[in-house]
Amino acid sequence: MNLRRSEAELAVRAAYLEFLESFLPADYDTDRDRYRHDTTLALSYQRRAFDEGWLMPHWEPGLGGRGLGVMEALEVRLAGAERGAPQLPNIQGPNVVAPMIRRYGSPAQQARHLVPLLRGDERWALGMSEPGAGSDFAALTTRGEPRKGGWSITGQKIWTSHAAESAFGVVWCRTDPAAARHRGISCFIVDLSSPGVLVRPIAMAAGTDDRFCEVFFDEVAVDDADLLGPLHGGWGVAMESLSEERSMIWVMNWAQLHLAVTRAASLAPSDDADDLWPCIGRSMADAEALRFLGLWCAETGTAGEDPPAGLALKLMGSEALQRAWQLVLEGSARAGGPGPGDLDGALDSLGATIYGGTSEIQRRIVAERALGLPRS
Amino acid sequence: MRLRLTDEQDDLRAAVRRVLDDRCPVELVRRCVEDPAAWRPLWEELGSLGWPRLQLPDSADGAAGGVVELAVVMEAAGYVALPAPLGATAAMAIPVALSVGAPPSSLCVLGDGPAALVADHAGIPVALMDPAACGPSAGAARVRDAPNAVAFVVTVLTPEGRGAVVLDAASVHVDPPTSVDPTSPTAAVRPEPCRPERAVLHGDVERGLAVARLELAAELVGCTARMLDMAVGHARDRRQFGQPIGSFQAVQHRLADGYIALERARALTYRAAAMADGEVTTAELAVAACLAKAAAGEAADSVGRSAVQVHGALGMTKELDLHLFMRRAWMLSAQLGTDRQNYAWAARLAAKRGVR
Repeated sequence: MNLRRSEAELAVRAAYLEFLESFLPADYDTDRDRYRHDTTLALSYQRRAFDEGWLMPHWEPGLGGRGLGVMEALEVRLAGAERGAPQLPNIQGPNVVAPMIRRYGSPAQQARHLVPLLRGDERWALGMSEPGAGSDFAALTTRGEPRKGGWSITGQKIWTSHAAESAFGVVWCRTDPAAARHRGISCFIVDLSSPGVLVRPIAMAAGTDDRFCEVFFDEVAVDDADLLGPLHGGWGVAMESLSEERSMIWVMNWAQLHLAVTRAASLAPSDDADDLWPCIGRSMADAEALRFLGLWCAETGTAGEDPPAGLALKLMGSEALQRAWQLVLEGSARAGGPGPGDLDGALDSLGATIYGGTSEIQRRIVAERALGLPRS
Repeated sequence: MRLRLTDEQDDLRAAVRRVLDDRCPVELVRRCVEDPAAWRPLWEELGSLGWPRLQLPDSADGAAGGVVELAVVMEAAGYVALPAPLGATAAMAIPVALSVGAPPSSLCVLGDGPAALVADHAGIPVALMDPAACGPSAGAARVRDAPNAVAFVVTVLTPEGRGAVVLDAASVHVDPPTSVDPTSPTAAVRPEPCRPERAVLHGDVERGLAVARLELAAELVGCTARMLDMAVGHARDRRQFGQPIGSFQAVQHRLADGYIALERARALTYRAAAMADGEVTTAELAVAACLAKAAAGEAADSVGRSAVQVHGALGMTKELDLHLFMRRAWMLSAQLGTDRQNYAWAARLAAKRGVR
């Protein structure tokens, strides 16, 4: 083991941080609460990061990358999180959809979609959940029926983030109703301006920009060329993308956790015996453990192994960041009231144990696949 | 940067496990509960393998091993609830002796062992200590393996700062043991007052204590892994309502949380160990070690409780070996500060010294 960063690792980190400083406005640190909701800034950050190869650092130049190794790319993301880099406005685009298109997309789909998606010119929605299919994804009932030269999609998706602003959606639907539940699902790229698509935004409890939508499909025509991945092989595409998401969500969680721990530490009491101290220490431990374990799993992954601890990262990070924001609320309440970002942070944190697979589902995954307990 | 163990460290792990599987079956631990001398042949054997001297330099007939190597050994020792004073000697007394630059003659005595660490003020980090507390060592309660030790490393606070002395058994008074874990007994230790002041070695005691703390964490991690394995094994085998109880989500979720606690503690432990072998300040290491110890103690306690619960009534019996590990975990948790104390110390040290 050797925790020291190599010269090359230090150089990459320094180069990225230099890029970031050159981008951020001068008053970024003093006016963080305003910039937090500045989607124009976030979008121009995405573009600059794409142009200069910092958006997907482990991808090739031309696709927002610079051909770094997986570990170096993670270090770049963590450095950005630590510095408080703007959050991408359509995070599931670059983090989930782009890797799916790169892995499963036809040459034509890749040529058409990857660059506008990564540059942030076109937003993307993920059409997975349905009113009757949340955690039980295989219960989906949206239908894809064959028509001449393609398919016709009818059904409803819900909790679809950003659909109202999105140009395209990745939509899972049942193409073989006779097959077993997991086997008859296919995944399509759908132009959300197509006739028959109706998007209805859902008002959110928190004043967040990440709005949910309902998306209705009424005989929406797609071509055979819009199929993403194998016909009837949509379950595998979804599992792959969820696993990809799980391997990235911890970095997002860590960014929020780091923010909360820093804030909690700034509320540190003057009394050495105050009972807030052990709670601050516990959240510090959460943050350091998540970072170490996340990097360890990635490093082990590059060595060709798939460590079971990777299954625990999403659960660990999301639960930890909620604990840390709860601590911020406790500390700020004692210090006279919450600061401007405190309530937003705490409210936002509530979603972390729901999106990307609820904690209940994550625990089942850990129990069955990491511990080898029998299926429930 | 490399976060995984090296191939040599992996080999060491496998070799240590092989020896312990063979030489330290749970039957031996059970026997040590009844017979206070039953650990001695095992201790002789570990001595001949050089384990207690793992960290000692060549000049003291040691293997000059790193803190990570020692953590690998201590995790394996925790997994079998090793009923010999390896932890007290190699992972507590010796790191502190090394941190004050004890001479090879003292290190040899400690390496032969058994040795014990008497940490005044329960090992509270120096930076957080009250300077007015300075004075002759008052000793410490619950000194691990004190009843069997022939040499004692005693931390002291003098006007020149924190230091340590190495004393023989005749220079200390050891109270009768009071221990939750009879296979690693603890007792209060008071140094005899006539201890010569010139024997005090000054040095970076805080670094030594940090290593001791993270090695305790490694032992706790091993202990936790064993208790989780027992619970998972039982949940797979035991059937109720016509199915294994491990297929019920209430049981699954409890054990999944145990897995998270274990992996969290293990990550913090090896992170701290690798920091100790690298180039970090003592303050950074002290924070990392306090976090690791707290997380490991917390994991051991929660997994132990879950393991008893999952075993049902059987979990309360002497017949099930679980209590041996639970006892070890609680004993270890109380060494060098409790979990809450260690969390609080880490947070206060970080705030005080600007350590992230």
